[in-house]
Amino acid sequence: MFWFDQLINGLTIGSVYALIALGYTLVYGILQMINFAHGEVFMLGAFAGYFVLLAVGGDDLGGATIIPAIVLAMFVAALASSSAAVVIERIAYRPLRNAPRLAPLISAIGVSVALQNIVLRMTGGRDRVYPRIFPGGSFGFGDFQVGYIQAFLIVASVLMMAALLVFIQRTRTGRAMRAVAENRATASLMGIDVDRTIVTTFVVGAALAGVAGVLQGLWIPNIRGTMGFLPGIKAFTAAVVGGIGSVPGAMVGGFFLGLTETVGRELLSAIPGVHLPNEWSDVIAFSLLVLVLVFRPTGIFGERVSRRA
Amino acid sequence: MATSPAEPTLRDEAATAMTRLRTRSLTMRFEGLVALDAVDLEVRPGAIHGLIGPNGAGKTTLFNVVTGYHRPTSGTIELDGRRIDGLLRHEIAEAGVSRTFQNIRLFGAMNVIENVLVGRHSKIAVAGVELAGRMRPHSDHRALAAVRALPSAPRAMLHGLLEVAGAIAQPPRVRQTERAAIEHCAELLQFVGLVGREHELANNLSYGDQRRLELARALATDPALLLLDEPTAGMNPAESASVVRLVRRIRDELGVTVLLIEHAMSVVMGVCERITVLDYGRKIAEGTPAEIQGNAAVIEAYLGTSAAQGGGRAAPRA
Repeated sequence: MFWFDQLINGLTIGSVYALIALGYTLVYGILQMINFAHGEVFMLGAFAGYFVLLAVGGDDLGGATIIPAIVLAMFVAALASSSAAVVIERIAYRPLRNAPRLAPLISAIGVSVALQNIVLRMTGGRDRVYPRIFPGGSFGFGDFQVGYIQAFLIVASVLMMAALLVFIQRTRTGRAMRAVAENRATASLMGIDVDRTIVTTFVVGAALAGVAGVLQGLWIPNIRGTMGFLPGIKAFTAAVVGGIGSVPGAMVGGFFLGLTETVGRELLSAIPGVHLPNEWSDVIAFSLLVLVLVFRPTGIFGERVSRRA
Repeated sequence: MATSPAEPTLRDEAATAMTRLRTRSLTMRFEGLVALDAVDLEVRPGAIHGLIGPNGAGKTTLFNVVTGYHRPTSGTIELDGRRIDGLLRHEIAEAGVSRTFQNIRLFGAMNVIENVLVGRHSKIAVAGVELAGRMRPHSDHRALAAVRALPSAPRAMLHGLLEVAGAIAQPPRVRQTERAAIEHCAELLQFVGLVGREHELANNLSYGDQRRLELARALATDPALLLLDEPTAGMNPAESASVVRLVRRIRDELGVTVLLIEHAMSVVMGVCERITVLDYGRKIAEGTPAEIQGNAAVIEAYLGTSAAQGGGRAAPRA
């Protein structure tokens, strides 16, 4: 069924946006900084997962062996993305911690462009293609069919988001992250190592983005050095829509944006005289960003638009 | 009293002969302004020591320098004979210095018990080799030595990953220390008189209760020295009296040494055994409450400023 398919497509792409958006919102919450290199962290995760899958057999993988292979790919991708984020934080952001807010932003854009080009160069500018190991079928009742891969994406992301919420709410590390986000100086005076907590925040956000890279690769197999740019900006939009700095906001914003691009676009197309093919997704997403910034800059869940200013 | 955190008492035994806090020629300059001018201060273990002086005398600056919020321009700070100037803020907190703030600084979006747990942060285990290395700094296990030898970036990454992995996997040791921390923090809440309020948002507490919560949070770090910045500010006499009782119990029952800034002279004179007076960043007097009340320099400093401000504040009563 057409509308059901659109709904599932929206949730699938939305779950990728949500996972990436969490990285933006976590880092913003703690540093009030937009980490524009985060899309590239996602891209690096996709590549790391790709190489793992190739190394363990590539297209020859089949049957039950794909499960450990995918888990390993996600794990290594999370590790690779986290490592990259830690290095980026150390060399490009930490020295600018007390600089005007524009400085780390520009530094982030510089890192983003550099990483895109390094990977493009290393891959000779050609796309790499994920091994097609995931079963292509679907399940459901009659017209209501969900692709296995889409179900996998949605379920995996939702599980990770649930784990993240528990992590933030229930663990010492999550508490430290919230304390540092609320008041860095006071947190440090209560015995929290602020630098380490900031690093941990980057690690968490990057791990989610790395896993998102693998998930997207399993779904849309072509990967390249510039693949992080658009999802990065879209996820940033999702974080803003949800309320930047808010963790539930990034989750809701991601799914909301995914659904807007698909179901929303088709709904608009249903108006007589309007025809918005798939390419209009980006126009719709970024129009939404503009609208939110104009009419509700704090997003769905945001209250504090500027704690520091 | 059920609450009797063990560490402060142990520290006391080890350090009875020593001075809890000692500053030597402590100086803090901010672009032309000398906020602290060669201050020598000694706080004895187990004391309730008052720090008074007119507005702008440098009292809060002294707290900020001792806790590492500012690096001193010159001079030294020792806690139980160990230099702590130059340490990072969280290291000074771990060394045993904790504080409250003149303008309350709770984590308003967190609930009451979470605020106290933040103070307990460094007492809860994280999984992993690095942490084990931190808790047993002299262990010569090869893995620990290897981790310690790592450059700081990979070590930070390893630690970040372990911290996340440990938080997700929740090995027994992590869970056990977290549970112990929650129990300890609940006891501290009982100690300051905030029973049954664990799950209220800190921002929703009354002003007086927020001050009590700040005390519980500061105590959660197991301090050897507690710095209280105007703990009775903005309180009515009844509330103020109950805070004074609490400060005494913090010293008597928990064995924590207290250094407090206070404007209400009745409080200072009533609770402190020794008092140091600052004026324009300089120490102008030190002694027992009786000595301070009769000190000519102190009276002049107070009368001078209070006259300039229209006599709004009381001079120490003779």
